[in-house]
Amino acid sequence: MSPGKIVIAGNPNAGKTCLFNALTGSAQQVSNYPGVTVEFKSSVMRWQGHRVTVVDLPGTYSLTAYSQEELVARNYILDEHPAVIVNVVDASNLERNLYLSIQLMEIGIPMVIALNMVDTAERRGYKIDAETLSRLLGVPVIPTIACRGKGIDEIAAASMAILLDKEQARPAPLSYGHGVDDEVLALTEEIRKIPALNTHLSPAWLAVKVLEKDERAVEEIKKRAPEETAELFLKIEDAVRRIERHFNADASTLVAEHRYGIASGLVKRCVTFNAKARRDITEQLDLIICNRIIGPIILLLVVAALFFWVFKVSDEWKWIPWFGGFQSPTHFMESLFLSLAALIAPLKNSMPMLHSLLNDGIIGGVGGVMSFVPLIFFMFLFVAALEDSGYIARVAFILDRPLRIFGLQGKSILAFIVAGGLGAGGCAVPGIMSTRTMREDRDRLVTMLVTPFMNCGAKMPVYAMLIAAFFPNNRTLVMMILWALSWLTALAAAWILRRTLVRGEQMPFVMELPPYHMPVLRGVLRHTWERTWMYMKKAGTVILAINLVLWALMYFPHPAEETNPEEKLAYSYAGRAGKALEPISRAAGFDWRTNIALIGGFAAKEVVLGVLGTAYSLENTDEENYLSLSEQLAKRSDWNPVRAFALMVFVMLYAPCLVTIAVIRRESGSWKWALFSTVYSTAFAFILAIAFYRIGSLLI
Amino acid sequence: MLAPGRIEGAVCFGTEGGSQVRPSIGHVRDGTRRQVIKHTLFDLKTGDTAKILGIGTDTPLSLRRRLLDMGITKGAELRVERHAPLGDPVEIFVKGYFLALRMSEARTIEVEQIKSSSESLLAASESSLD
Repeated sequence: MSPGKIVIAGNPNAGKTCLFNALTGSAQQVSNYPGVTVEFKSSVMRWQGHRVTVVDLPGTYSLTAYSQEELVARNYILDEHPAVIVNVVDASNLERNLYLSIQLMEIGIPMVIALNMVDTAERRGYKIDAETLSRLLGVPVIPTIACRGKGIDEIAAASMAILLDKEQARPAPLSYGHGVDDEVLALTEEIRKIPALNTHLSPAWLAVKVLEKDERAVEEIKKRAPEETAELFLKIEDAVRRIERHFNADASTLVAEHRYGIASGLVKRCVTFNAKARRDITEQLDLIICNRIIGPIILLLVVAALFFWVFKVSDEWKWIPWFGGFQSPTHFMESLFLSLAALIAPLKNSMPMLHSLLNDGIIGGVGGVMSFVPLIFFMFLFVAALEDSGYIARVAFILDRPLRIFGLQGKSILAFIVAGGLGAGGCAVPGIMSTRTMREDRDRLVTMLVTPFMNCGAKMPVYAMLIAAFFPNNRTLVMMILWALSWLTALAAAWILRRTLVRGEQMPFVMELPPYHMPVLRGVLRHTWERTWMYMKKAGTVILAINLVLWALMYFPHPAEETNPEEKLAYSYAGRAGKALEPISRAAGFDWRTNIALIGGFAAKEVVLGVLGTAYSLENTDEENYLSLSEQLAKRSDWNPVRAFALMVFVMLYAPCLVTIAVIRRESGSWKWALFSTVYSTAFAFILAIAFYRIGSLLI
Repeated sequence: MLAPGRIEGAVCFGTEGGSQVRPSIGHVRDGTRRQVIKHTLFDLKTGDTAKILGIGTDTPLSLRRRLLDMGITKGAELRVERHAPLGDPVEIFVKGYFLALRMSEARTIEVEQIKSSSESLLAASESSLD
């Protein structure tokens, strides 16, 4: 017997995710940017022998279906009809949070209010009378500090009491004032008369929604009862007209204002404010961080710190005096795979094919990717901490105006940052998914199309290898140049797209700047680990599979007679394809081996490094002096820094990986844009790679 | 209770109004027009406190709803916190939290400037629960 579900609803940054994690113990990201959790997550709560599904809905400010998150949250509640709604309310920002609570109460599902972050509220000088609030609303109100686990048991107990029918907790009926209430009542009666509408949707809720001119509610009525609605809609129109004449104001505005009226009335009765409270830390920080002159400087410093942090911490421990000579995490990973390669070396003569498969296909490919796990981990750690702190919203605030020149907006920045825009080491897939916080279709489409230009984690290994080989003394500088180049290309592409294929007016930008808080170490680590694990899983599954296919393409057909390894590779299917493309790719300085790697990279950019490794290790006959790929390339006469740079530019910009293409298709709703993205970015990449190669060759 | 007829027609704002010129840096400041033209958030300086009179009647429904959802309601008080480095967007303090919006949206919010920068954090609204 399933006792029903518990859903967690609330404003973004109210601490829903913290509460969800505390109730269920499940791993989920805690994020401070408005609306990061777009897809709801569910898990199981165990309580006194019961197992109950708990669903964490996306954070919303309202249920008016303004954004995708609101739609997801609202539809989930309406369709799934949970047994209990746990409404997480930020106690330090009670009025706006209660505005959502009131809309949740309208639906008529039993509710428990978690009055969260009461400590912050007290620090800001608010004292909230939870008992009075509970009495006025007709539902339990429980003070909590979800991130520190306070009040969690009480929330679980109160929810379970409702779920097991021991408590009622039906929200108190709401009053929108004279003139409106009568119309709501009359319409509720009318709706109740139509059997098709008398489902799990509360008639009173529908009545309020149609008075608000809510398009979705109107559609819902038309869909459920197509015949009887003509008369109903006449009555609705009459009601709206009467209200608007009476108040001389728009009906939807009136309903919203009445909700806020209720919320502010509640605040007046339940909250006492101690004006002597000290100035909020957020205000003090914003004086500096959002300052017109200092703000952008800080932004640049943060980006620089990110580079420094990632490279120094993951790969250059020697700079710290007391680690003198100690291996860095990256070196550790590399040596791990080198010792694996040494382990299987005896197979080389007895079973050459198996050895080649293990050594070149698996260890070479997967090992190359895995050795960058420390780098990716530290990058994600930094970005997760920034997200958790509330800084990302300030970045959007500072950069909205400049980004608008290119037809983007402040929120586009989130997609870019998640995709690797702060430095390198994000992923375009969650980046593109994060554009769901943008309701503006055109802004969103352009953001999706240019997000893959950012330096994602998969491109990092290729850069790192080539930089180590050809720019060992200017690592940070070259990374900075690549970073700037990815932004320039993305902005230029957005500018062009906005003036050609995706024309149209820009949409509004209204965004909360959430309070700063210290990143919670556990949350950040959890978040970082999830993303790193995703990267590792990709290395173990998709990339391994592609590597094996490519290995086969590079190994077969195997020439019967013994020739040198280079001729063997040239004889293979992959070698033939690479050679066929060589006349074209020569323009950007790519030889046929690089072509093989780049073809593989269409599937996933990590593959580029693996295949290059395979292509060159197949030739490496001298196993006595094992050289890493980067050392090998540095020694080759046909490679030089210009060629390496052109390759990095091409890898940065050409077609998004298969997973990204699939996500663009899903998020944009058509294959057209997914295919377009592939073609235009490859064209962009090739033109720029040629330009850098030609101009660079002239200069050297 | 809300008294009827509180939202008067917007006199001069929005797209066809005299404040059509929108510089990208800084904002229009024209003391002589203040008495004639209804103020919008667009006209306020950093540090100004104002009472919201309403959202312009020719504002698209979706934007109006969004602003309402974020607490831009009649009678609420707001304080202009700062402008972004290029003068746009603007950050305001309303209903106990910080909200960023563009100057183009700020122009739809009609306000009445309050001279004294009062410390009232809880917005005043006439409605009550009863």
